[in-house]
Amino acid sequence: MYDCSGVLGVDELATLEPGRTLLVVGPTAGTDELVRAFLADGLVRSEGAVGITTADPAGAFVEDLAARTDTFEGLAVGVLDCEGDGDRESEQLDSGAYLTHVGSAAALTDLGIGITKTIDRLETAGYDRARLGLTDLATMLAASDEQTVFKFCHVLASRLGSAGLVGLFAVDAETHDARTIQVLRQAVDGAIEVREVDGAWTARVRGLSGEPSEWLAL
Amino acid sequence: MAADDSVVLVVEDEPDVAETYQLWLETEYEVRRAADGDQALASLDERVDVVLLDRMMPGLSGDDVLEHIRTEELDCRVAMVTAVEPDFDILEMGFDAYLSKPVRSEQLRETVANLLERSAYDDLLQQYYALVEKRATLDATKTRAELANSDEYERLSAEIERLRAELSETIGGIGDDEEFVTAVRELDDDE
Repeated sequence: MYDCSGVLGVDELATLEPGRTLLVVGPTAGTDELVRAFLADGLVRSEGAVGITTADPAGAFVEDLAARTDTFEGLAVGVLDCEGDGDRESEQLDSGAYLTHVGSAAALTDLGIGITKTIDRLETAGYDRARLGLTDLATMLAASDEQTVFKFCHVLASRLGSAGLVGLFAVDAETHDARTIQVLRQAVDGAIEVREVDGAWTARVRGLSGEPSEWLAL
Repeated sequence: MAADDSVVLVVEDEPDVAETYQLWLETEYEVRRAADGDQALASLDERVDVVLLDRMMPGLSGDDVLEHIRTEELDCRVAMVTAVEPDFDILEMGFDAYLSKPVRSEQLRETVANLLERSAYDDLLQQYYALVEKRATLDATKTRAELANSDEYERLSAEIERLRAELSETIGGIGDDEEFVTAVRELDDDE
């Protein structure tokens, strides 16, 4: 089991089964915050972290994760971004964190090979427990189409399933209609809905047990 | 008589070796043979599901044939057959699997079956998406009461659950790195 209750104090996340993947639905600012908190929460528990960022540079993403943890272990971290110039390139930072740049959010084969290498690298470093966070599917939807992104989510979730990892895929609910969100939910195991209430982020989990969880502050 | 209508193309310049592969495979699949890269290109069409590709051949090399398959976006899986363990990453090269010579019967059959299974996974995933998409459209256009009384909606939901289970259990999902990269490469090819 993975204890992800540091992100949101609901039972569904306190005992998240290995191999589960959830869609994180809401405004980008909130879903992005939740995905980063989820990865940092894993690092604190000595788990590996795989980040996929379609908008920010990987280096900035790693710095943000480091800022969220008291003792940062770079070898536990691998981040992929879409800021490459066509070919997939990798680099290792002084901290040990491993960055991979792919050409675009539509370069799925490069992204897939990059994810594979990143997960293998974490395993070699001794992290066979790890979390994967992807932010944001909206960029991928813009770069390709709903059907391709749906299949990619299913294939990646399935790989996380066989590897015993847990994953969160963020999707911006403001730029996509409810129908697309509902389709994407069927590619994974459940969803975390994020909304803003009085200037603070709240969230609830749906689809893992019979009823949705209560709304709690992040 | 082939038990399956899947087509395997054996690209191998040594006749004895090609003959052996054909004997091992032809009880289950339709087997085509090509003695070099140029013949391989001539034998490739949309019916070919799996290519067993010898890397070292006179003339057009295995790598050239692979490049043709990928740039023409032919919907087939490619296993590299090589005399030495590859010292490079076969996934990066664009191969879906590799076999080292000498290849044993069981190993060859297993690899072909596994590659065909990956194609089956993609077909199922396509069906699954089509149904999920259809249901989501119904959800967006009908009232709850209409949906509750719809036999079509009920059948659709049952079919979605069946396919969901089949994708994760029967086919075994995505078990390793090679299966994962093959499945993702398939998505790039589909676009």
